[in-house]
Amino acid sequence: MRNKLAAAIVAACALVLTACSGASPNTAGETQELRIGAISPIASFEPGNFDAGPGSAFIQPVYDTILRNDSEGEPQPSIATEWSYDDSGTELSLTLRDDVTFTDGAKLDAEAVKANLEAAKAGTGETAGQLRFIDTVTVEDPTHLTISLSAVDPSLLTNLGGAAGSLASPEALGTPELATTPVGSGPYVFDAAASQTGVTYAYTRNPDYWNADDFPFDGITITVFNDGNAVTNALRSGQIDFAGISDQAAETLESDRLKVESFPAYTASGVFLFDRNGTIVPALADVRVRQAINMAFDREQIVEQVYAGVGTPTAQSFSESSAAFDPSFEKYEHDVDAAKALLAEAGYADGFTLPMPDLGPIDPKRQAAVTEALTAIGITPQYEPVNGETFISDLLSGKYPAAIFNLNSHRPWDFAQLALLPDSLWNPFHTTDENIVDLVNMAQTQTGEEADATFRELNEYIVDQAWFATLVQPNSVFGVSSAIDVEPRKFSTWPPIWNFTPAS
Amino acid sequence: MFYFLLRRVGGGIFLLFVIVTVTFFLLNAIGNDPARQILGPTASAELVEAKRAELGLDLPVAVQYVNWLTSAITGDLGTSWYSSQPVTELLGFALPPTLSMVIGAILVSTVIGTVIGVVAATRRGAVDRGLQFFSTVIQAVPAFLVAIVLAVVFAVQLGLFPATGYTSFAASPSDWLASIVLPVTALALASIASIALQVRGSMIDVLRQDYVRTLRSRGLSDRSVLLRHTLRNAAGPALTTISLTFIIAISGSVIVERVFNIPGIGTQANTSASRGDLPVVLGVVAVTVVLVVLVNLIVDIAQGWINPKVRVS
Repeated sequence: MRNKLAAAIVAACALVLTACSGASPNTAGETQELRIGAISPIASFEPGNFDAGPGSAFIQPVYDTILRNDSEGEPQPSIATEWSYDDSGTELSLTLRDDVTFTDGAKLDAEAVKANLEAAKAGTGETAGQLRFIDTVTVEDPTHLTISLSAVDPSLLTNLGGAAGSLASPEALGTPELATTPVGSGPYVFDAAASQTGVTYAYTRNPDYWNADDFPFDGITITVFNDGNAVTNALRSGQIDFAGISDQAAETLESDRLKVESFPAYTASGVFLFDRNGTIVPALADVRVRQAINMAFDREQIVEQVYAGVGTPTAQSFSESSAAFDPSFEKYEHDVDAAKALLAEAGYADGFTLPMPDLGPIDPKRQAAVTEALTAIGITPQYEPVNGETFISDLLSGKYPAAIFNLNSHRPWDFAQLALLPDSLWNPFHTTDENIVDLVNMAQTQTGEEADATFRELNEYIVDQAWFATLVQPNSVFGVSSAIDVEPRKFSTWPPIWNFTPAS
Repeated sequence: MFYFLLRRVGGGIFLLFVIVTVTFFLLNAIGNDPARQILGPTASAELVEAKRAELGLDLPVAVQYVNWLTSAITGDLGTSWYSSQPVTELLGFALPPTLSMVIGAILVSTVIGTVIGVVAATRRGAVDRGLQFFSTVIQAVPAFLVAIVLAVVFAVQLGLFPATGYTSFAASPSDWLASIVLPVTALALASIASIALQVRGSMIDVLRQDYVRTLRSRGLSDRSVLLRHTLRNAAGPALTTISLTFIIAISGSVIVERVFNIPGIGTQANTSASRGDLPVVLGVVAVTVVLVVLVNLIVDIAQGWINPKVRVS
């Protein structure tokens, strides 16, 4: 009996030791599987209902896009091989490849593209908004179609080269299964049997893919993590090859097995002065007050202490990577005395109280820095408790006159649409400035250098008017296995999967 | 015994009814608008209204409750508002990892805790004092801290076990075992200490009884006295500790699953509660209550089997 027990214990130990294969890292030179860690699952695989940020990692393996943006963010041929606008800039003609089939056997032709654009436009996700200027889609023949726009859209081509141009099988469009089981024509096929919604997403190579050379990995797995420590442990133990990490984790993560990469996050981060009409806080209607707030911050120090030195200190909200950005627009030196004098000139020598959402529990360092700076010039932040689930809708409904926040800062046109026009989503008090509207309208029909100059003028005006107290354009930090290389894409928060390669 | 079981099952069903009812009305009282959250800030008011109707949120809360309850009685726990997956399917994915961890923790802590308790009660002296010291220390360390240390040392640094994730038994028994060793250890450590202390105390009490001296004076071997008579009589309080251990392990699994990124009931509860996915929250609550009631029932039956006086009390 005793011998049997001992044998059982030995067998169990042997089983455990042989089982210790959980961490089998990719090694340099091998092209096995690309294993990505994500912080949240994709909400839906239906065109028009997914976001264009980190969610792209889930859809790029399975969906071809009409065009494909290169690493500079410029649209290049993909399913559409040629494209051209008419003179008015509102009729876009596309020529499509004729050799692509969806993995369920449906043909990828002009009808399929039309069905996708119409379905995507009817959605409610971020990508649906990117297609809002599309009026009608006309099929000329199986490889030609024309997109008619209600107004010129300078971002349409790049949007068709991103998530908004994703193409699902027309047979799957409109079916409830598409939300969790994508069917596309992309380089990989979604492996439903090896996946679990919200937890793991597995993709295997599409053997019939028309552009297989661009995708060196035999398979892709995306694992969703709920905890930053778990992500770090998975990276360090070789369970995953790529994931976003915190600045703090980055300081200790680099090793023989892991690289730390830092790419622009394409966001403007700081104090958003939403109530420029003075609806809740009358002081904010005075441009001198908003300028004084901008002068209260020591941006260099904040980047060092709050962002671990990773990011660009700036008062500009237009992306540093865009033509609208200009170093000469940095007009707000840290100067507490000058800020106080400006407040006094505006009639607020004794300061005022500024209600803001309380982000202390999730972002204590940034909130502490903001509190210190505002208090130094006599403004008292009054933090109000936040409900995480309703936070965004509260901001959008104009509940808070100001907030510590991040906002996408991609191409100048996109940023203007997002935050500067009277009906922009992130202009919750609908502040109207005719000069801004005129400049945006002017840029809409311009291209090249002409458009760049207009956006520069717009950016300088926004800085002068102190619409925001932007502090930094931060970087996203990623942990990367030494077995792979990755290249970022301009104006994208997450590198596209075709920019992942085995380490050279 | 039949009436004893009937009483316990009836009590369990009543408890289940009360808890899911309270959960339902509490979550409704929070006042979030799931339709708006699901569709996003850019969706039109018409679309949001249509979504509310689709989810049945336009009905009075009492009607929603009755609809949910009548479906639940037939085994239909509804579908997730966010992923549109049936709640039973989600629970089907989430239960095996959690049960693997919790049952593993119960087995490990029961076996090791009992052995340590018996040894401490019979040997006494330094062994006993050592047990009491280490038990106090171990019980003071929270499970999540133990989990983090285990993950860093045994998974990241030594590479002996996977740092994150869960492999099902069906996919690979050896990988399954490897994936639960560290979570089970994290959950079991504090329970080992409490079970050991409980067994030790009960054993010492029983060993002082007259009948033990009588049995020894009749020449029964130490082993027979210890295992057949003393341990059996000391098992009652230890069994109660085990049922408490189960409840602690279920609640501890929320954190341990997070540290090891295990997609179990705790993770499901966390995710669905944070976004107000009512059908999934109710499903998680219902299945957790059923499990707790079931374990208590099993413990009651075991105690009744060991000690017939319990059945009539």
